[in-house]
Amino acid sequence: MHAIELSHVTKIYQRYSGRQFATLKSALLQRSILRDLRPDEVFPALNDVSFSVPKGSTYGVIGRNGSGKSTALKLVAGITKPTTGTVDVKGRISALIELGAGFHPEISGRENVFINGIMLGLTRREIQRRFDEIVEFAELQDFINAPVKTYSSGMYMRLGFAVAIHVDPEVLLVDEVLAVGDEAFTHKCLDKFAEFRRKGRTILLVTHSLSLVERFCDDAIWLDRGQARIHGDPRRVVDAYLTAVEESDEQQLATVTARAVAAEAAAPRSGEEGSDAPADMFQAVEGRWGSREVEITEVSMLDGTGRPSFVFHSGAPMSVQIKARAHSPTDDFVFGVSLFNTEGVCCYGTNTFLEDMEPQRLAGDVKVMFTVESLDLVEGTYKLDVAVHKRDGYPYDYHRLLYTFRVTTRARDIGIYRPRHHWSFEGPIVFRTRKSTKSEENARLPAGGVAVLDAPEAAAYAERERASGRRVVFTNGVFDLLHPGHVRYLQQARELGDRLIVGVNSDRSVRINKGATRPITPEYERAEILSSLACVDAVVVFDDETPLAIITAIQPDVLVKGADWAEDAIVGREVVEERGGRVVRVPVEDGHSTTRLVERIRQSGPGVDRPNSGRDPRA
Amino acid sequence: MLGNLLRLVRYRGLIVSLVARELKARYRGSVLGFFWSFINPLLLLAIYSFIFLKILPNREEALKPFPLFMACGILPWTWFSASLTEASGSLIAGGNLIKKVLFPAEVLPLVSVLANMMHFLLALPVVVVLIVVFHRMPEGVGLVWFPGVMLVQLIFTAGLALALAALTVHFRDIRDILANVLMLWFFVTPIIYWYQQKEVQYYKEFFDLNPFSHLAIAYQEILFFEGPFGHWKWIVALGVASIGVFLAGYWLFDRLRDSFAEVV
Repeated sequence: MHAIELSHVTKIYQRYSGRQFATLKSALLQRSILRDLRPDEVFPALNDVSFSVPKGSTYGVIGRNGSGKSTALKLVAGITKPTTGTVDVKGRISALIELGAGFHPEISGRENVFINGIMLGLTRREIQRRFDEIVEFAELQDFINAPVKTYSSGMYMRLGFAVAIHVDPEVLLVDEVLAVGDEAFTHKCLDKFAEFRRKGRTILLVTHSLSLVERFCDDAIWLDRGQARIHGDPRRVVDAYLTAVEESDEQQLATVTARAVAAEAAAPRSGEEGSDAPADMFQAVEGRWGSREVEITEVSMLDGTGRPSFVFHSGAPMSVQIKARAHSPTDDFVFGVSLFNTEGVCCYGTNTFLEDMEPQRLAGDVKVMFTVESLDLVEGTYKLDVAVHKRDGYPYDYHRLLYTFRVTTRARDIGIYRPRHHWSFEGPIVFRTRKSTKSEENARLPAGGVAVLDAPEAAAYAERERASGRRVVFTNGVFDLLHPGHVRYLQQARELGDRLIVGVNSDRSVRINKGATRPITPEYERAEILSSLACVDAVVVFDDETPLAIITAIQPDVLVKGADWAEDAIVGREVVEERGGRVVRVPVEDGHSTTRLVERIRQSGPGVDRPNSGRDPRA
Repeated sequence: MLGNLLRLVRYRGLIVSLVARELKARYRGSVLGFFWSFINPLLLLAIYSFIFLKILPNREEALKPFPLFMACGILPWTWFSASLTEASGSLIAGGNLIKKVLFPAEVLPLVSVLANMMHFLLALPVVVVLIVVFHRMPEGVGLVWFPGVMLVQLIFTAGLALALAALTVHFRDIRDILANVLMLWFFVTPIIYWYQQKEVQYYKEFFDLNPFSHLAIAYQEILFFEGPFGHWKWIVALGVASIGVFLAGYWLFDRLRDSFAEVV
């Protein structure tokens, strides 16, 4: 049963731009009152958006500014009405949209709590009963009788939050309000949300905090310019969103770069010797100078596949392609490239001369390629210097900071340079894998330890292990209820190589393959249990119906399947064998089957027959 | 519309709280507090009395004592004009509520009207003081009408307040226009002069068209003039018309309701 349902909702805001300064008087004088009451422009804030939030679940709404998130929330709250389509909400709503809206500054916190509570739909008696709890939650015991105008903004918001949350709604709408207090208060709010969830209340959460969505929500939707781009599993929605953000970053950087280059090209060229060169070469000022006897005609940044790009993943390859034209042949030329971060710090610089390339001859049109195999930089925006000059530094064409690119990563490390690294430990030291956010995952790439990885990490791990001369074994399965049959199977698999990576079907793919009642154990728990086995080196959860993609990514040396699989029914066999790997079928022990185990549990009594919701247990 | 109107009944608790808050907040921090509701009209009356007794003396014998006569008209007028002025800006002032909270917007203009009614009631002791000072006891039978007249004024004012509040959201000039209209309205209403003055008789039909004339006359007949309350027919008629005004105002408000959250 759903608590919130939007079906084909379109919300068109009318912009009365022409009437902005029109007044009643002028409207009457020009007899344009009717015309002016009609909108000049319409702006669809939401366009045919449908989603439904099941009762008791937490639903995240993400998207860029202006994508319609808040409009959606207001529609659900009933503050505005949809232009077309229907909004159906079941149960009492409380909207944490603007905290403390309606507080009157002159009167005390106590009186405001009552009035605000009544506005939100409580009765005086209900507020009376919850009053102490509200004040305690807001941590305002000492100030509750002071007028609200004396409150700091934090106190104000806390009180607003406390009242709204104590309305005890069946449907809670939250719009980016978790930034209301210090760390401790934020935790308290999150705890309160968790309590709501436990009580089976429905939460609709609009936020820019993607990690919150991943951690907290059962489902999510990504709104983009008023349209629903994707909804479903929060991690996938967040991934899709981040990918799109990168793309649009890319476009934006392309524009920035094109503009910078165009501006410099249009600027009048001052005479000889490039007199507009900055006095201090290490000062980071954008510009272009030089005699242009050799001219840089085009600079582009290419990704690993040779396509022009402006956004690069940390650790990915990057090439700078310089097209140059010598107007007359020369034997004195040096090509140079350097990278700057936004603070103007030179991260790296080099040129052909420094790298012992003695110029011989340059004539006509040439192409120079500077390739970085692995862009080991932390996340951020970087700018590029590209130059061609004489050995003595006389500039032919110097492009300073004209080219902008961005390095992205989900890691949160700091500094400039990210050396390739890993952690290893000896002795009695134990870590528990943090699975809360993906952004932390780079920090827990395993060395010899065990971890739950995502596909690219698993691929990287496999590659590293192979590079160290180890044989990587891969097998996959659901592993819903782990039984000794599984353990023996995995032990045998491990013995076929040096490292065993286990692919685990995501909850979604299990449901597709085995029906809605499975899995019993959610994917994170299954992965965690597996990763704690001594014979398992890494676990990767994959979401496709077949493991083909993950096998292709990992490129295992040995692919292990149960002997109950026919040799040519094994998915990914070609991939492995093509690389010279082998497929091994390990005998499966009779008498152990999860499906039978599940049946036995079901028959043995009530209480376990509820299909697992697949909810992330971390929240 | 009727459903929304019924919903108002559910919000009476909210309305009461907001009116109480308005009153409390209004005088919070001032030394004399609620006393100001009493002092303000008293000072106003003192000024008018000075002007119309000393500078432009009104020589009508029937209007003596003049301060009491004027109090009967000015106090309801203040309620009326302050209500409309505040109500017209109420939706804009409460924009945060309308935009961010699921909140019945009509509560805001109604709270303006009711809060000013409370000020009116708090100012009534002025009349009592004047009655005592001038030894002019009003007739008991007429006093029974007093709440009825107030109710008519309340309904009439509320209807106008709703319409003005809704329109002001779209045409902000209404607030300024209103100030001028109210000024004019005050002077064409028999508040500082007598409706039976011979100068007024030339324009009798015109005065009869002014709804507030009848309210002012009613208050004056009940509290000031001797003899039975003869104006009751007008008040009953105005009462019926007021219900019409209220429904029309509410209808307009309801029509424009969905635009508030977007335009405010």
